[in-house]
Amino acid sequence: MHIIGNLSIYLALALSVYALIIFILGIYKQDQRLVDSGKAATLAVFILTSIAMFLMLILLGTSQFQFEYVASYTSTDLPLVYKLAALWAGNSGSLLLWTFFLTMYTVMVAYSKKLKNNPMVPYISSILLGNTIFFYIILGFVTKPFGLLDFVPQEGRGLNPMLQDPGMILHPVTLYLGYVGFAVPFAFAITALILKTTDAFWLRMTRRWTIIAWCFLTLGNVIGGWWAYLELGWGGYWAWDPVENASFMPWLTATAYLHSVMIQERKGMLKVWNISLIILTYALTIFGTFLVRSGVLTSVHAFGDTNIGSYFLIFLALVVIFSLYVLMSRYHLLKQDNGQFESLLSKESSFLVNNLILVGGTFAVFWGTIFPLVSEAVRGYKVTVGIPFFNAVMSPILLGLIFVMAICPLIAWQRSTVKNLRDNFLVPAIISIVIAGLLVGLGMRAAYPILAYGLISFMLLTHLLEIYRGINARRKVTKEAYPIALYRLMVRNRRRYGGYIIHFGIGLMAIGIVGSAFDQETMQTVPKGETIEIQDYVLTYEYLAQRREGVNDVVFANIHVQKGGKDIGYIQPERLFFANWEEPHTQVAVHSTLREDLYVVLSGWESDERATFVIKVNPLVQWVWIGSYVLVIGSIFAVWPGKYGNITPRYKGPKRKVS
Amino acid sequence: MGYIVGLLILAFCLYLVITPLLRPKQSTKPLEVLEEEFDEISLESVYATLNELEMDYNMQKLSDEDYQRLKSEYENLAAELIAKEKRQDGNSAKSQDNVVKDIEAEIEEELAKLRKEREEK
Repeated sequence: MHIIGNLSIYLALALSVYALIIFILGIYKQDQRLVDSGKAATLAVFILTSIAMFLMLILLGTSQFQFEYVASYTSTDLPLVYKLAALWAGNSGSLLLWTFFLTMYTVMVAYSKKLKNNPMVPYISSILLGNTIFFYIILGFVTKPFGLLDFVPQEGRGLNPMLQDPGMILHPVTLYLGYVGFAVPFAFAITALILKTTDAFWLRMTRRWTIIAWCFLTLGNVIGGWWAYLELGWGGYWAWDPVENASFMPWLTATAYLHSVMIQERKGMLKVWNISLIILTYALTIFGTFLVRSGVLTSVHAFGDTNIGSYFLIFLALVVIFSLYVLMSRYHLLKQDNGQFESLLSKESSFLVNNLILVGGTFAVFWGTIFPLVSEAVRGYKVTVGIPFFNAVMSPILLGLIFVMAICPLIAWQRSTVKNLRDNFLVPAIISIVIAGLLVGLGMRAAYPILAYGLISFMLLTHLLEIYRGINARRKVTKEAYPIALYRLMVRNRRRYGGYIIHFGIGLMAIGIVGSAFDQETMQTVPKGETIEIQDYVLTYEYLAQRREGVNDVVFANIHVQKGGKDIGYIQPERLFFANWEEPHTQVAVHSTLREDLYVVLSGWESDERATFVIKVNPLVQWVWIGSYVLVIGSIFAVWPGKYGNITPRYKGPKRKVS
Repeated sequence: MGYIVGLLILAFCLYLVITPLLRPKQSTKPLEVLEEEFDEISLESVYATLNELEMDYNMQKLSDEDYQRLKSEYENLAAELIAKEKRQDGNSAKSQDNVVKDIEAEIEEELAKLRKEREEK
């Protein structure tokens, strides 16, 4: 097996280099045969990567411990699904998965029907191949997936218990699909620059790619949060950990990019900005990978046991230098914008504000993330920026974004008047103020949640109003029934209404994010039969027991829960002890409702069966997950193929006065 | 066994890569074809703009004044594009008046079609 595995890796590297050279020759000699040979080589590389990955899955599934990777991350008692998921538990396996996605995307672009015989294809493929070569150099010479041990161990080291969770199956895969997905619009953008085709063609071609990559990145982040919430046992889903930040930063810039491309498509403006944003997004995905793999910053995500980070740093430098060089050399062409902002009160202006907020947020997160490194370089010791810094900076940014999201749907492209603005916003604004007033009446006193919920309801209402007005505008002409008008309105403009559904999802997530900041916590050690009270919950600790799960031992506490005098049932927080892992693992018990989560951790116990519990009441957390489902639905709706909405309206700038 | 499979994989990859090179020589599509995709505003996109303006107006996002101004601006742009197309089609035998009338009728027809589409779909 190791012969075939290693052959796949080295042959794929050789063919990637061949493909890059033959594409360049094909471009230079304008010979389609050479380009076709290059395309065939990308297909061969993808097949080889698939073989390597398939082999690795077989090795993991069948516990071939003579392979170092298999022995390091699996054991015989591990359930099959986690044996297979161990593919992305370590450096070489996860990079193999990354390379698989990258080569798959390269083939999809090279053989795209829409791009058949398009002269951009060899350029785009070459840029993607440059990335592939880097990953194959790592796989071939730095961290080898098919490395053999000198002996065959009886048993493997097993998989870190924290990784034995459904989150392990979904989180890395979705995150990688997102990360690697941005390589495609990046390659299109650089190609457009090289070919001096600075129009919106590359944006139109990458529209779906970008939304899909963004959706995967969002899912990767949310699933990561959900996993941390249930597995890490600290009671939250987002800790501003450097690695969390590393995947959040490209999300912020990609979100900005998704909005600003619409301005270029419609008005031919912001060309430099859009290209810069996609370069920044792709560079941030590599920077994120560098942070995860290098271990330069302390994080719960531990990959940093090799010198692989330095390779990513070099690669990042090369990508940035090359991109900036191409960008600067074409700067004069990009500056020839053919549109202008006509009015401050216009959709494009609101998109620009949204972009500034998102990029500002990216900078704030970046600064907070690298601050320990900066402080170490300047002062000689690491000063870590904690959660309060990020919360303090990002909370107003979130509110600002929600406000812009609220305004954007109800204003037109080109120009809106103050009167239109007043007419459109009066009703949602009044209702939002009433909602904020109701919250005050219900006893909420902190300014931030009152303001936040007021703004979130304003945003949700403006979106509902926009849809309602859209239905009425259609019905004016078509006289259709309301449901039919709604359906046809949305289907005929999937991108816009998909975007609104996504906004709706973000709004629901924001309800959860703001709410969960107001959690309550207690930590108590109690004997059997004693109760713990938190808010209107009464928890009665009934007994501590032990059971066996395969080769592992599970200690659990049985707790009876009442809320406001009403019986809710039993919950069982657990501690797991693994046969193949030294550290025990916490299994949180969560009683979840739309209003709040009761979150219980079995922290420890004494010989007399007194047990220590950490109990939290986390308000509205479920809305974070519900919002993410809505967001995925919106993304699918937006990218779903259809015959409508394929022609983008184009706007001119105002006529310039010539003196 | 591993070596045999390895050789088969190698042979297959070489077959994939070499086959295109054995075909008769063919030039790549010149870069100039991309010119068609450039920033030129197409007639279809102007119709889409007029459609969007009408929708925005009906949704009370645009004032009467702005709507009328923008509508006439984009109708003129559509007229310019149609006239350009007609000129390219070599249809210059018609008088200028007739061309203008034709264009106005065509824009109205296209907008009516978009409205009808909204009714039907």
